[in-house]
Amino acid sequence: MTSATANLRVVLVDDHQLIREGLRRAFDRAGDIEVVGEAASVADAMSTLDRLRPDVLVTDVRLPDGDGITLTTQVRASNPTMGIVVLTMYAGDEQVFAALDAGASGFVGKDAPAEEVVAAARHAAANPRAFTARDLAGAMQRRMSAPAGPKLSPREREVLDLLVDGLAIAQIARRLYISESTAKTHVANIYEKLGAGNRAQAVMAAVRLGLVDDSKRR
Amino acid sequence: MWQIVTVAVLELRVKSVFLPLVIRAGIILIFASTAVALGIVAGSSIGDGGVSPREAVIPALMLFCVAALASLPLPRAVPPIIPALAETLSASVIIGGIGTSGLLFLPYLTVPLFIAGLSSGLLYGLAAAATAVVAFGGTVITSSEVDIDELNGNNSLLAWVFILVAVPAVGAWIRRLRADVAPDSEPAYADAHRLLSELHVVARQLSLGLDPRTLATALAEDIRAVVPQADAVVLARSTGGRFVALSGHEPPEAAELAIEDAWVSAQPVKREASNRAFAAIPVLMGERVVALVLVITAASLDNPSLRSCRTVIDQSGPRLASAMLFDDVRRLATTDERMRLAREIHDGIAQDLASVGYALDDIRQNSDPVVAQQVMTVREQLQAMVADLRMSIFDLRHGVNDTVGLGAALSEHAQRIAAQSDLAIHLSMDESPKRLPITVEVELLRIVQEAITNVRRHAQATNLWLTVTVEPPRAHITVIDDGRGLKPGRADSFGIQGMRERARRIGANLHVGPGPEGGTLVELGLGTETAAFEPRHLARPAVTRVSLTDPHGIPTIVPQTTRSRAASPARTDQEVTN
Repeated sequence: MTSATANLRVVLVDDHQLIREGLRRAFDRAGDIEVVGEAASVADAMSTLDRLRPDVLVTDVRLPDGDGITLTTQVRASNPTMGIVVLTMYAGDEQVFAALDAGASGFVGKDAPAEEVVAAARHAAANPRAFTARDLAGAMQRRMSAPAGPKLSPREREVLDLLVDGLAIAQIARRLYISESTAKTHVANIYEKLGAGNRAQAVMAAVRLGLVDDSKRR
Repeated sequence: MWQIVTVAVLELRVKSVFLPLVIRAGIILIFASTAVALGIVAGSSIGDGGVSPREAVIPALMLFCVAALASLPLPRAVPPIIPALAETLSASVIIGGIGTSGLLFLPYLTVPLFIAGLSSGLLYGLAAAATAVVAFGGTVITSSEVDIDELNGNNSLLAWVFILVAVPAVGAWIRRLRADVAPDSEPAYADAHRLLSELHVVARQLSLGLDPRTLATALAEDIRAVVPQADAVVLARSTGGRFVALSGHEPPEAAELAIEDAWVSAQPVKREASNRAFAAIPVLMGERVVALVLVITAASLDNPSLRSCRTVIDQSGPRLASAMLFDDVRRLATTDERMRLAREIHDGIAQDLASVGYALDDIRQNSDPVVAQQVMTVREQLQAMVADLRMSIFDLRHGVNDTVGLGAALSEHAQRIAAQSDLAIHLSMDESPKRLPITVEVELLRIVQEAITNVRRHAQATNLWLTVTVEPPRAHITVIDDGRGLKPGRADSFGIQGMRERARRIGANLHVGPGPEGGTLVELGLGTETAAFEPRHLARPAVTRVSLTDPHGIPTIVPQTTRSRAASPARTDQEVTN
């Protein structure tokens, strides 16, 4: 919450001039909010933000020289307290989570009334690190219910179990009656699927993803 | 001493042929300044009679002049053999005219000869060598002061003649190596273009066309023709590293290891399991395994049969590989175009409408209650329009990929719609952990998206039941609504026609008609004789239900305990321990 004496200072970033004008009028109507600057590109936005140090940044996602998500990440890295509202025409859970991961404070669709943008900006100024978005709960639920994690093939599961048991490539090849180069290829595929660079990381990833069955450990 | 100088000159001359202008200029400068220095030495030594200028210094000076001249950059139109020949000729005459110490300078002749071979190939190089021998010999014979016998001490002259022939040969050999290592990119493009043109012609004329599924079926039949009593399945690697049948039924689980080992090792693999014998034979395109043929027999396949299978596969392999590649290229091109369309809508009409919305918000705030109410109505309509456009952009950009399968994409789509419209979507998903080929998934997704969009826009329905069953290579999808049903003339409207085309492309059956209790039914069958699957699938085996119960548009998901086929850890463990 801000006191009535101190105005909220906002910078608008959108390459569409009419959108900026419409939002500016909405913020002007609010009375205690002042749009101190506007920008139409990521480069513009960075210099404007450096110069004006506003309380809240309202940015579009698609910009001519980049995107608002990257801009959010950059701003957040150097400024933990600025409120950041991501405004977009894009729909989809991915967008919401991208904004959340980038460190935005709020996410509003461009179909929503201007008042919603103003409300999100107020929230962002008060709680820059508490993310709000319409249908966030739904998006969260959807993400939880989606089957996640890499899928290993049956043979890869066998190779992984032997890797976890600490067998060398040559031993794995002998155990499974396959050539060493085939075993190596399987191991490389497993590392790639688990995003691991070596055996230790692969084992850790497998444990984390619940791919290692304790009852199978000898 | 002269040998070292010769090697240095040779290196500089070769560089002067292949390097940029600046370096060439430097090399010419080196040759020219050496010649000037030698000229000064010659001038000073004539006075004091130290070194014999006629025997050593003046020829060296002349040779450096020749080297400098030969290093001059020439216009592209002049073939490189011309300066090389000129250099050979002048150097031969200079060296031949020296007299007995001419042998000292003979190594220099290797320079233009090597360059001739290197720049123009063996024939020109040998011609240059012949020029050298003739010019040198002619000069020696005509010059009265040179004694040939003296010159030919220890047969070194003969040796030199041999060397003069060998050097251009070496140059020509290096030239060939260079050509192998650094091919011109133009021929590669020309080849690619020729191949694509051929593909295009083939795609239009082939009786089988370039459809992977048709070709795979034909391949399986060819295998059965050479090995009767065998069952053949053609498999492609689908997304997520799973194998999916392009033709025939899914491979039995007992064959999984044989399939995978054949894929990884790119070699045929034979295995026996549960009183059947499997032979997994990779279809290779160069080094890459593009598909795999699984031959299932009662007893292990003997070697002659395996050989004849491999022959059949080697014949049909390239066609199948091309078809799969073609399919993929088409998919990528389509994705590109959809992205472009999405950008166009996003940057144009959608932003304009959104800004009109903000302008209306402004008017609403500044007007009296009666007007504000009217504006509010318009604003709400506009908001629905923008939401619709957001949805269209989402649909255009959204698709299946390596990590997002058909089920995930469809449920996200359904839930988006449910969250942003007044339509309650009841989704039931029965998806095998195996995936269909991505090109098929894409078309299925687009068909369902179109069907749902139709319901949202025209049906005035309150409920939509989306039932999806995926059992690769079969799939069955129904979209049922409780709206006002099909209006006459809508049966072959633009949207439905597009759905039909997509279904035809993947060999699926599509049925659009009145629903079981009013409304509309869209039914899609893949890998079945008709659109209908089995009656029980119309009984909506709900796995996930999505319905609009929250005023804020948050769908509630109620997982129901049915035989969920989602890839849960428990399920995959079962697979492993079996």
